Order: sequence, then C-alpha cells, then structure tokens
Amino acid sequence: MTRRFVCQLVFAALAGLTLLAAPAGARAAGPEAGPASTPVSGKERIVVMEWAGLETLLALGVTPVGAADAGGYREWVSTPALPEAVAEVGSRQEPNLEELARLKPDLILSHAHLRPLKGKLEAIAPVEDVTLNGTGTDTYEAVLEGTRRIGALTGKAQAAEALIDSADTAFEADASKLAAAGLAGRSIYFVRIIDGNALRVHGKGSVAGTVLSRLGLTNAYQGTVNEWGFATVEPSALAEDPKAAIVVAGPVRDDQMAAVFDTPLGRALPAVRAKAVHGLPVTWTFGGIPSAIHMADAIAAALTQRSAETGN
Amino acid sequence: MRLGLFDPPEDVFAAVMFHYATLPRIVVSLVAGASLGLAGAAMQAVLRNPLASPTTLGVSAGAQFALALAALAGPAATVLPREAWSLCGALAATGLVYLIGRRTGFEPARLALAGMAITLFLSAASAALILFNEQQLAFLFLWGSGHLAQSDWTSATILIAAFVAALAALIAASRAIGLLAVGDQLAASVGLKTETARLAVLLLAVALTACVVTRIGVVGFVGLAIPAIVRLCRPRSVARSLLASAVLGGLALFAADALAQLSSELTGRLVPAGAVTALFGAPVLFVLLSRTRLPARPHQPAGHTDGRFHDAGLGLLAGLAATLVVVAAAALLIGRTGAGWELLAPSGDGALFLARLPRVAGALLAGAAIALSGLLVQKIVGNDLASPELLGISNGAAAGIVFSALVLGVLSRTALLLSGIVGALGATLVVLWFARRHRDQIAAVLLAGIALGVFLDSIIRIALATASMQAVALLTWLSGSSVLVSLPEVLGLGLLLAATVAVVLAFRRPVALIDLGAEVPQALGLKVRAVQTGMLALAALLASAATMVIGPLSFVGLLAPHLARALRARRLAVQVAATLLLGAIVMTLSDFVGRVAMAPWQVPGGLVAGLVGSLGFILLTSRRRVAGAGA
Amino acid sequence: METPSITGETAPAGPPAAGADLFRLNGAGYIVGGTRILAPLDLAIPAGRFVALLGHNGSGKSTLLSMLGRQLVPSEGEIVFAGDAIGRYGSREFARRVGWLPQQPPLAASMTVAEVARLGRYPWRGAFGRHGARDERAVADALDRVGLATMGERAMTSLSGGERQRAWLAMLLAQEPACLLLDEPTAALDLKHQLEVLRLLSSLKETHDLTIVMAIHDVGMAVRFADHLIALKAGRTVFAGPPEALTKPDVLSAIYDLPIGTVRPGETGPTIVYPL
Repeated sequence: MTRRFVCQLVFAALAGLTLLAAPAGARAAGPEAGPASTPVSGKERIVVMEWAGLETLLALGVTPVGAADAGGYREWVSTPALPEAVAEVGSRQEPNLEELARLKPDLILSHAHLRPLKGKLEAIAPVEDVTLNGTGTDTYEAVLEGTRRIGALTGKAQAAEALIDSADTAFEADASKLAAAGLAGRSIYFVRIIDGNALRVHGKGSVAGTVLSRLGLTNAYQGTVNEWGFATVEPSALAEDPKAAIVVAGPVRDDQMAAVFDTPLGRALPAVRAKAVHGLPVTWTFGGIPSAIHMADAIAAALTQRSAETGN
Repeated sequence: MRLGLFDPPEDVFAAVMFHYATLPRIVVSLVAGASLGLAGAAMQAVLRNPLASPTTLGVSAGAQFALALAALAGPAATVLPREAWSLCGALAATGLVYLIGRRTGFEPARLALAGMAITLFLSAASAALILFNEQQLAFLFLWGSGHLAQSDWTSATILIAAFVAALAALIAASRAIGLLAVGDQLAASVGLKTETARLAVLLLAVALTACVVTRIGVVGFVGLAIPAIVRLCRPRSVARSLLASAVLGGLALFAADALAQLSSELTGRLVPAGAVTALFGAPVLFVLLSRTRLPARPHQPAGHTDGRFHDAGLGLLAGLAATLVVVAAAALLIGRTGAGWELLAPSGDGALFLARLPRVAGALLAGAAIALSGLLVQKIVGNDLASPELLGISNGAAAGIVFSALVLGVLSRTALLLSGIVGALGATLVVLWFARRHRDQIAAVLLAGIALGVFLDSIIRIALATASMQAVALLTWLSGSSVLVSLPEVLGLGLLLAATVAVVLAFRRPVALIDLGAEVPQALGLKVRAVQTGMLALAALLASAATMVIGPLSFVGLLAPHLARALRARRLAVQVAATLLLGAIVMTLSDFVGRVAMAPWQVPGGLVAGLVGSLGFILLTSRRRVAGAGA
Repeated sequence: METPSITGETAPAGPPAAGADLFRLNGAGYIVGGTRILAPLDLAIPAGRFVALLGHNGSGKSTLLSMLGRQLVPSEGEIVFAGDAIGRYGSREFARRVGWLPQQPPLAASMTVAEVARLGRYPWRGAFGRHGARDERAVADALDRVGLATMGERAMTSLSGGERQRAWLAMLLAQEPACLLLDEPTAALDLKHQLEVLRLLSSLKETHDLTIVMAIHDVGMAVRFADHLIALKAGRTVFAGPPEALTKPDVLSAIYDLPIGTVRPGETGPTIVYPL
C-alpha cells in the first residue's frame, strides 16, 4: 500500500510540476477533454449546475446526464419533470467534481456565480457559462439570451426559438384570459414567504415582474430590489397599494400562509379583506422560460378563479 | 370616534398596523430587552462573573440551534411548542458550559471562553444545516440576528408573562442572589444551599432567555452590556441592580430596534435589531474587559502521577506520521460516487488522482497550519482554550472575503485569498493594539478577540441578511472549501508552513519561555513584547491562509495542541511536530469524511472538523483535573 | 580547560565593594492612571547587604522592587545601577547581574525542576547560544545549593511550596547575578518553610557575595535575617537603617500606625516584635 502510495505521489508531483509550468496542459491531462475547438453542437452528455439551465434543457428535449441538486429541483421547480436516470451531482454551490468526472460529460453548463470553480470544471470537460438569474440586469432578457445560447450549444437553436415563441403565445393567451375577466391592469404583489414577519417581494427586473407586465397586470411593488430582483419586506409593506392582490409563490403550506395572512395584522391587509390572496402551486421564481410560462399560467388561473377563494 | 388604540377599526389599515404591529413591536422590544438585561444581571451575580451573559454562556446559540432543528423536523416537531424546543437547546448548551465552569471554579474568563466556544460550534452546526436546507432555512439568516417585526400580540403577551414571572421570582430571591454574589463560603455559612440556589437562578435566567430567543431570535450583548453599565453606577442592592438592568435593557433594545428600522428605511433593506445590538455591544465588551481584572494566567493541569513527566518521544511522532500516511493514502485512493465506493487503481485514473491531490494536500496542510497557529496562540495567551478561531483572526479573514465578494463584487479566488489575509491581519492588529494597552491581562486580549470576532460576524450577518441568494454561495466558501484548492496554492501553503515551522523551531527557547507569562521571561532578559508580537503575526498568517481552505470554524487550532499535550508531547520541538501531525490527520480525515459521507453531496471538511473537534474538546475538558494549589 | 569567563560574554564585574551603593534612586517615583503609587524616592541600596523592605500592603514595596528589576519604568526621576543609568543596560546584560522573582512565580506546570533552573542560563546564552559544560555546572551547582540536586527530574507541580520557591531560587542562582530582588519570597509558606528559605538566602548572601533586596511582611523575620532595613509608608520612605535602629517601639509604631512593643529575651536572641 505504502509503496503504491509513494509511486502515486511521485507521479503526482511530476504531473503537478508540468501543470505549474504550463497551465494550459491541464485540459490535455483530462482524458475526456475531446477536441477543444469543435463548434459546439450536438453535445450528448451534458451536466448542468443550476435549475434554470436544467429546466431549459429539459424543455428543449435534452436530457442531461447529471444535474446539481436534482432532488431540490423536483421539490422547488418540479416541471418539466426530471427523469430518474439523471444523476445527482451534489449541491448547486459545491458540486461533486468526482461525480462530475465519473459521468464523463462533454459539456458542463455552469454560470457566473460558480466562476471560482471554473478552472476545476474545465479540467473535467469544456465549460459554458450561461447565467439566467442574479445578473443585476433585466432578468427576463438574460433568460431569453441564455435560452438561445443553450439552444445553440445543444444544437437545438430552433427548439429554443420555438420555446421563446411558446412563452409569448402563453403570455398573450393568459393576458387575454385576464382581460376577459376584467382584470387588465390589476396590481399584484408577487411574494414568497420567509417567515411570519418577512417576505420576499419581487419587483423590477425579476422574471415575475416581466411576467406580470406581459400579462397586462401591474406590479404593485415599486421599491428597490437586489440583483436578483426582489426585496425582503415585512407584511405591512403589502398594504401600500390598497387595491393590489397578493400572489404567493409555491410550494407554500397552509400554516405558512396563516402565519402571514391569518394574524390580526394580516387579516387587515386590504388584499386579505378583499379575499384577493392566492397561493400558487410550485413556482420557481429564479427559473427560465418553462418556469415563466408556468408562472404566467398559474397567476392567470389563480386570479380568474377568484370565486374559489384560494387565499385564506 | 374610535381612536384605534384598543379596538382598531378593521377597515383602516394604519390603525390596525398601529395596534397590531407598531405597538406590540414597541412592547416586545422593551420587554425582550428587559428580559435579557435581567437574565444577564442574574447570571453575572450568581456566577460572580462580569463576563457572563446569555450570549457568552451559549444560551442564545443553544436555543437558536434547537429551533432550527425543530423547523427542519417539520410537523413532527409540533408536538411540543417552540418554547420547549428552544428551552431544551438553551439548557443543553448552558448545562455544558456550567459543567466546564464548575471544574474551573467558575473562573470568569474561562467560563466565558467555554460559552463562546460552544456558541461558535453551534453556529457551525447551523451553517451545516443551512447548506443542506437552504430553502427551508432561509428565515434563519434574519431570525438569527433578531428580527422584531410583529403582527399580533402573541409574542408580546408571552414575553410579558415570562418577564413578570421571572422578575418576581428573582426579586423574591434577591437576598440569596446577593449572598451568592459575595461568595460561596459566606453564603454557605448562613445556611444557603449554594449549588442549588445558583442552579435555580441560572435555570430561571436560561428559561427567560430561551423564551426571548423563541420569539424574536438572537439579540446579542444586551444581557452582557446592560448589567455592566448598571454596575458602574454601583446600585445599593441586588434587587435594585436587577430592576435597573431590566429597565435599561428594555430601553436599549427599543433604541436598537428604532435604529434598525431607521436604517431599513434608509437602505431599503431589512436590518435586524440583533445586528445593531451586536454592533454596539461588542465595543462595550471591549471596554468592559479593560476594566475587569482577570487572572493573567489561568492554572494549568499537572498531568503527572509520580511527580515525573513521562514524555512522548520519537515513538509518538513515528506513530502519528504513520497514521497520517494511512489517512492521506485512504483520502487519495478511496472515493465514492453515485456508482458506489471506488478504490483508485494504482496505474489507473491519473486524472482523477490529480484532481483529488490538491484537495487532500490542501486539507492536510491547512490542518497543520491552523494547528500550529493554535499552538502559538495558546502559548502567547497562556490559555489552552485560546485558538485562532476564538481570537477573531479567522473571522477577520471571513469578513475580508465577504467584503470583497459582496461590496467589491470580486469572485476571483486569488483576490478573495488576498482580502482574507488582509482581513485577518487587520483583525490581528486590532487585537495587538488591545494587547499593548493591557499588558498584564493577556486573557483579556483573548476575550477582546472574541468580541472582535462577534463584531465582525454581525457585520457579515448584516451583509448576508440583505444579500439573499449569493449569501448561501458565500457560506460555502466561508465554511471552507478544499474543492477550490489548486496545486500552486498547495505549494504556497506548504512553503509558508515550512518557513513558519523553521522559524518557530529556531526560536524555540524564547517560544518556550513565553509559556511562563511576561514577568519572569522579561527578568531573564527576553524581549517579551517582540516575541509575543512576532508569534501572533505568524499565527495570524497561518490562520488566514488556512481559513481559505477549511473555513473559520474548524476548531482544529483549538483541538490539535490539546491532543498533543494529552499524548504527552511536552518539549517544544516534539509538541510542535505532534501538533502539526495531529492537525494534518484531523483535517485530512475530516475532509475525506465530508467528501464521501453523503456523496454526491459534500460537507465542507472544516464543518466536519468543527463538529468532531468540539466533541473531542468537550470530552477533554470534562476529563480534566485542574491543579488547585497556587504557588 | 575552563576559565570563569568565556569569550563574547561579559562576566559581572564583581559586586562593588561593600558599602558602595548598588542601586541609587534619584527622585524616582511611579504614577499610574493619575494615581501616585510611589513618591519620588531618594534612596540608596548598599551593595553586599541583605536588605528587607518593610511596610503594610499598598505601601509601594512591590512597585519599588519592580522598578529595581526593570519590570516597571519610573514615571519620574532616575535609577542608577552600579554607577550607570538602569535603562542603559541591555536586557540580557542586566539579567546577568540582577535576578528578579515576582511574588507569585508562574506555575510552570509542564516543566521539571532542572528545566526551571536551566532558564537561568538564558541571559548568558540567549535564543541560539549552545549550552556548554559551564552552563551545566552552573545549573547543577544552583540545584545543589538550594538542596534540590536529587529532584531535578521532578515536575514543578509535584513540589511543596517551599521546594517550589527553592527551585525558582535555583533559577536565580544559575543566572549568576550579583543581586537578587525578591518580592515576599516567604508569603505563601508556613513557618518551617519560611525559616528554611530565609536561612538559605542568608547563607547564599555570604557564599555568593550577593546583594539581596527582599520585600517581607514579618518584621521579626526581617530584623532577624536582614542587615539593612527600609520601611515604606504610603509610597514614602519612613525608615532606612540597621535593624537595631528599627526595633524601637516608637519607630515601629510610626511605621505601622499601631502601638507596637519589642522584647529581646537574652542578649543574643532575636528581637520579638508584637502589637500591643
């Protein structure tokens, strides 16, 4: 055992020195590096580091071989459904590089927030950074651009355009459905519950903000937001626009809804008094086009089913 | 006309808000602050320790951690009210601190150190929970720093009831508390069952704190600073001092929350009140320390039976080196993926081996570095509970990293590394400046370091509370990420470590002399200040480099020198070698376990070491016999 | 071949002739945080004497000793040691001539008796100098002299209070100084061990030609062993002179603010001091 270890150590030291001398050699050292400068198309074995990229791949009909926090995806994003065969590669913050290497990917779909890890990922396979969320710019623009890039990388450019078109179609259909119900221009707070006294409200630059405006609705929250397009506020902030309805992103449990809206303060919120609080099914607020379509449909369905009394 | 004060019209939101949000928030801030002040004053009196408080005895951290666990357990945890969970956690943490304290005669500095060590451990454990449950535990960031927003009178009612009951009981017991505050012998001589009385008062204070934590989260330092301020006014009786602490505590938290709301208003971000109290509380601890006489050098255990030492020699070092080789070989050769356990073939996958090598070597070297840093710090401070984790050095590195990542938007590893080193050196300079002003009270320097660490931590908390998703990513780097280590970094770390070891061994006589404090070495012609400063600078350098790889809370710096001493490494050269080897073994093993235990998910090695390390530390402490005889 | 002096070292220039002043305080006082601890003192410590510092708690004994041992720098005035300003000596050079011990020496829990004694060679060898036969002999002699020759391997914490105090004395002797500064070396000891340590000091003074300055509470012990007494009261010198001059009821009463009587049973017996 020890001798074997020593051999390994010597080998590693030599290889390490080579690595130091020529950092570019690192890629060549990886056995699966493949032809480095092939124009990207028809990649077969993709591993994706983030849920927005994952749902976009799935929507384009590409099944990756591995995804970060696949379990979490099933709980927090859920559609498009993730096949069981897709391997889990660890958390989204710190993916398991050995698991990644075992999957022998020919493309790693990463993003800007994992930039510190890029060198390590590149030692395994070619890496493409596609950042759909948290860019500090108009998120939906980033989503559109990212979707097109993912389409180009996977040889599904047309499918990507079709996906984007389908979003436009869905937005229009939902918008006319809402208009027909007399809800055009209705102002909406789009929130996720953190705890009884703290909420994330999505504002300018968020996917939710874009979806609301494409549905012909008004985003009731006009305050400052972070680079992900939301702000953390107390429930009383939801009274600023007395005419607004409240839409709560799912998954959300009844006790969480009650902790915010079934308190003396919550019951006095204009939206609650008007029975205009709507809990949505699973809605991922930092997703791609599929999540945006899903979000639009869910909002439209919730608002037009007012009589069903969703909230409370 | 209805004023809306007691029965607000439901259709006027402003009235409802005033009645159900604004008023209860004011009441909660007053009563919670009063409760913390009261609890702190009672603890300080019965432990005769100006440094005792809900924060420094681990009460708040214990309650918070138990609540996080309960939140994760979901519906299963609802069989008991939240207060019960929080009380269990608070009692467990405080009980541990109490047991450690009883063995050391409740020596002030040592007790506070034990409490802070457990607090830091629990925050490591919370960090581990958050890593795996980021969505469910998103609230922990806010609530962990004391968010006072209210939407009904529930919290206010519960807090008032708890406060009134505790106040009545403590005032009724104020004579017994007064006796305990004077001294056990006197108290016992007038027929007081001192241990029972002390435990009863502590239990009451812990329960009150647990109640506050359940309702509003962790609000640090009110319980420490307020009774200290009250003491400056020399109250004439215990009852008065308790009452004054309660009143002043209420006002302090009220003011802190007003400040928090104001800054929330100005920045457009939610600033929790607890973060504000930590900001002003940590400097108060600084001032407090400079006024408290602390024993310069706590007594250390004897560690011999027949009056002679049985020193470990080369046998121990050879054994440790062999262990390290086995552990490192296992870490290098054994892996686990979705496909199951894998043994790396010797001639096989060179790429995989190469990918693993920097990580294993990085953990190994960082463990050795933080261990040596811990040994140096313990020698300077003369306290075996000292470590870079507790001196604020690691927090300084973490603060530097967070600052450049969040404020400057830097994500390059080299830049982060540099800012970490700058942060650690900055923190060390502050501690050194403090040390210079308080020559004889080196234990005070240690607590000043802790105060600095908490201060920096509260800044990090504010940054993270407002930074959302990136916060979780940052947490990964802060927990130590051996994944990111590259071979050049390993080489750099190795060189730094080798140079430091060479310096320490060359100067082994002065380093060994420092073990005797300041006076005798100075009388022997040693330039004490220069040696202490040099050792602290080395310790800071090692700690900041290691923090990048294994995070600020590994506790290896605390544990490895302990283990070395327990294994009878007594002479300095042997002690240094054993400490290095032990640190390397613990960290390599921790990183390995973290890599494979929950594969493909990975637990940062620093967290594994922190969890295991504090367990070992507690075992060590509880086995300890303290030499009672003075000179 | 061994000579007492080794190249590169300055051996102590030998104690100044008895009667000359080893220390001389010229208006040296100490103030901390605005509080005066020690009034500006003009005082001489004669060489070759066994000097006892008397005075009740807080009278400034420890502060004076700390200033003499360079643990504290006077806030005003100056101290002259062997003809030169005390601050002019290098730190190890000074340690080769003056040995100082605090009232409570460190616990030294992880050290043996011999290791403690060997610390006394630091002023001679510093951080890097090799320990030679001369150092070993100095350490062995010191241990022998304090009666701990057979206990060198014992852990410090396994010793009795008197033995521990003697181990620290061995460290001071290994320093081969001309002067010992001791802050209440008998404070923590019972009567038997007090006598043991004071007898040892007394004989060391003779055999090693030492000047000893010692703070002590027990006036009886002081007049019995010391040959020069200095009494401090509230930071001022109130007495300096031989034991015979001190052991008068009116002098003692003035020092201690207490009516004090003295009696000397027989012509040669020690003087007994007692409060009335």
